[in-house]
Amino acid sequence: MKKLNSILLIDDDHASNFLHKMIIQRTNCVEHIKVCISAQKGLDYLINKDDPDYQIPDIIFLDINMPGMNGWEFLEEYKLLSDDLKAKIIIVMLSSTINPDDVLKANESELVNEFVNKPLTRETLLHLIKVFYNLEFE
Amino acid sequence: MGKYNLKFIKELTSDNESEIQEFLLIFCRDVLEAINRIKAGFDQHNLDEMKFYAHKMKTSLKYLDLQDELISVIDIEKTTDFSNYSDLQNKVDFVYTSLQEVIKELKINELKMEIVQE
Repeated sequence: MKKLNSILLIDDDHASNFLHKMIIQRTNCVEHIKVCISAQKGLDYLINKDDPDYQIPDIIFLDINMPGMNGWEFLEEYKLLSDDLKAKIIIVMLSSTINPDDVLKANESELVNEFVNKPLTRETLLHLIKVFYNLEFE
Repeated sequence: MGKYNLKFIKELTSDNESEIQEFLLIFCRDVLEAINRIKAGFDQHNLDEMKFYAHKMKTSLKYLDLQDELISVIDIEKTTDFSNYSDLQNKVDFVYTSLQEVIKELKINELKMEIVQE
């Protein structure tokens, strides 16, 4: 069965990363999962094609509130990357924000494909893969 | 208050003991840091620090269904100033005390650690 190639998690919350990685692994929907614990590390990963782990992610799950560079600041830098690269990537904001402006901003952003409240669930993951890649998993 | 629920984690892990333990170790470490930072932020009148760590802790509290603590943490995150000082202090104290107790219970009951009494 065809799988996604890669999913990138960008979140400074270790507990969420642990569970989200586990949920993704258990769906058996993707070959590679990369976790970056800061937005800057996520950006560095996307830019550094010489990294032996480098895979163009099919989906980026991006947290909003992170120390240093936050999710919105990440998107400002991401916007400057090549159109070829961006065309291959779906960005899902994954957050526990209580700020309604964040949801509004995500909905209005051309770079954000979806906004999802934490925690990521198996059902949400499968729905996203179905919607954006037309792939179905059990 | 302080009564955690592992149902969500057990379902996610299909009751895999080592994964549950690994998650709980992360939970204990990160939540302990967060409550200490919130308390220090309150003592130093550093609202940004308090709000940041309150926000950061929310999802972890959802994972263990710690509803009372979650409500207080959300209130701390929404705080805009120190005008209602005693109310804020009560919330910080509640979150700090209750989650310290949760961490202690998790370490004893789930992680089977020996807690050294000071």
